[in-house]
Formats: sequence, structure tokens, C-alpha cells
Amino acid sequence: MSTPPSEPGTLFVPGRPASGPKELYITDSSGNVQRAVSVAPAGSADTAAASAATRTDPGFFRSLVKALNPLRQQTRTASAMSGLGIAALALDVAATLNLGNPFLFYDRREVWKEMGGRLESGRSDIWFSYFQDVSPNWKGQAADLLGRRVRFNTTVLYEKLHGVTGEMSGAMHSQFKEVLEYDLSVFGLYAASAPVLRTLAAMSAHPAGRVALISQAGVFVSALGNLVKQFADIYMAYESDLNKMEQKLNDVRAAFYHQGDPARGRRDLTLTPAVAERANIHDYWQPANRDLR
Amino acid sequence: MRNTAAFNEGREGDVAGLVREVQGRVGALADLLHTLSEEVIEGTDATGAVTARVTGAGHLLGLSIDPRAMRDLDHVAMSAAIQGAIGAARGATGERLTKAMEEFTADFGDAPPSGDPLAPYVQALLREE
Repeated sequence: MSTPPSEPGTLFVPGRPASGPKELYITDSSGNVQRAVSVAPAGSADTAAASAATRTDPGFFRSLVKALNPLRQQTRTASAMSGLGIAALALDVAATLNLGNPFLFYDRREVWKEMGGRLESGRSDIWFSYFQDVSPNWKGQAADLLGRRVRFNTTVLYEKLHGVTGEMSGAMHSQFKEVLEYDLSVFGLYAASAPVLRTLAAMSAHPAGRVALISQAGVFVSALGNLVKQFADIYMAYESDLNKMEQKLNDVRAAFYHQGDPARGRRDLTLTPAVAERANIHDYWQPANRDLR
Repeated sequence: MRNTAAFNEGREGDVAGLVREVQGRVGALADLLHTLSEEVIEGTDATGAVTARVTGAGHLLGLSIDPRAMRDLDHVAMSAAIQGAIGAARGATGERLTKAMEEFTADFGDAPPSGDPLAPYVQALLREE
């Protein structure tokens, strides 16, 4: 795409994207638009996050609870008859309470991954737009200012944000995996134990059956206790990871807000509007090939 | 059993504490069964001629036969008396186990929870579209 030299394209500089088309037009030193880069509107990130968050739940968790509940009732009856009584019933409640919907974490993983992708593509667009289109064609104070801004400000901030999105996506994936594994382990244990316990409960009128029921209930409760304890340990380990992530997010917040406090207002990260001031535009923006002409 | 009570009432408690309490309960029950299995329990047939001794686990340890039974009982009656004695000894084992379990649950002050405390949550989840 190009425009006649008499109709220069609009140089759409970062920091002034509030109005007009949501595209960054890149011109050469003759004012011809070389290409246009799409600039996402401010609200698009939130919209994308919301759309990912409302992604259809495959119904795994509901199906799991639906299948698990009858098995729970059978094991609760047998446990109550075994002599383990309220201890086993309390552990059943704890194990069930700790079940989670792994797809909540899956969705969050996807949201952070999508954000990371958008951030990196935005950074690359800015980087390549400057070094392929602006830097070879323009010089002057504004071009230098823009260059410093791209190298030391925009890139650094984008990389910080991109780092956080990568780690958050990884943390969400790990939690998705752990929650899914716990859910399947608990279900597997109940599915394997419930028929045996139900049969032994029916035989418990006989002393031998009663002893067998007590032994089997003890094995079941011990295995369930180990599962719950392991999951609690994993949960604590992820709490530690998330605490580290919170510290990194505080660092990012400090880069964007005065004293890292949103209440104190945003830092002024915009490029000065003077770079596009018409009175000085020929001093600030000089075609790189002007000396050659 | 503080954490046990918390979970049985549908409240959240300390999971590690609950697991410790449950393991303590399982350990106590295993000790009880072990102690019972080492006990020797006797049973006598209806005529009183034969006495059987079994372990708490039901294994036969020995028989005592009254010398008079050798004179009074023929081989069929003797067989029935032995079976009766062993059955009585094993029955006593069951009674001993039942009594021990009653004492065990009484020691822990078990009051069975009324139904499943998670039932409302499960029903609500299953009603969701």
C-alpha cells in the first residue's frame, strides 16, 4: 500500500493511540505508507480474557462427582460399620472437599498463554516496525527518542510482563495437572474399594466378616489419608510458588505505578507528544536520505 | 478429635491434623485386633463333654475331652460334640469382638454424623446445567 507524496500518511506514534483508526501506519521518508500494524484497542485484552474464562467446561467435574457420590455412600456405610466410625467419615468429607475442577486451572492457563502471545507479538510488531521501517528511513531527535524508547522502555516492560505470563501459565498448568491427578486418584480408590467394602459390610454379621471389614476399611482409610496428605503437601508447595509469583507481579506493578501503588497513579510511560508537533516536525523527523539528495 | 468433628460438621479443618487423628484411630483399631487375636477363648459343647480353645482370630488351639465322654458317646455323638465346642468357642470370639468394638467406639465418644454433610453441595452441583 502506498500514498501519493502529496498526501503523506499519518504517523501514528505510541502514546497517542486514543483516537482515530486502531492501526499503526508506517511510512518511509517520502511519506509513503509502507505497511500498517494493527493496534488492539485498550479493552480487547479484557475481552479476550473474559472469552477464555467462559470457555465451555467439558463437564468433567460434574460427571466425576455424579459417579463418585454413590461410591461415597457405600464406603461411608461400610466405614461406619467397621469401627473406624467418625474418623473415616471425616476423612471422606476432607477428601471430597479437596476435589476441584481442573478445567478452572486449564482455562486460566489458556488465558495467561494467550496474554503472553499477544504481548510478545505486540513487542515484536513495535520492534520490527521501528528497526525495519522507521530507523532506516528517519533520523533526528524524534527518531532517536523513539529508538531509545523502543530499546530501553517498551522492550523491558514487555519482557517483564511476558515473563510473568509465561510463569503464570506454567503454574496454572501444574495446578491443572495436580488437581486432575488428585481427582482421578480419589475416584480410582473409591471405585476399587466400594464394591469390596459393600460386600464385607453385608458379611459383617459373622466375626470373620467383621474382622475382614475392619481390616479393609483400615486399608482404605490409610490410602485415602495418604492421598489427602500428599495433596495438602503439593498445595502448600504451590502456595510457595504463587507467593514468588506475587512478588514478581509487585515488581511489574512498581514499573507501571508510582511506588507500585495503583492509588498513587500511573507512571507517565507515554512518548512525548512533541515528537509529532507540526511546528518542529521537520527538525525532529529528518529523512535519512536527505543528505544524499 | 477436633479436626474429625470439624469435617463431619461440613466445616473446614486442618487436613494434616485430621490425617493424624485418622491414623491414630486406625492404629488403635489395629492394636485392638492384634490383642484380640492373641487372646485364648474357650467354648464348650451342650453336653459339657468337649471344650475347644481358639485364638481371637478363630484358629483352633486345642480340644479337651472329658474321659467320661469316651465311654458315653459313640463316634457320631463325639463328632457333634467337637463341632459344637468349636462353634461355641468361635461364637464367643465374635461376642468378644463385638464387646471390644463397643468399648472402642465408646472410648472415642463416637456420635455418628446425621447423614452426609456434603449432600447439599453435591445436590446443588448436580442440579447445575
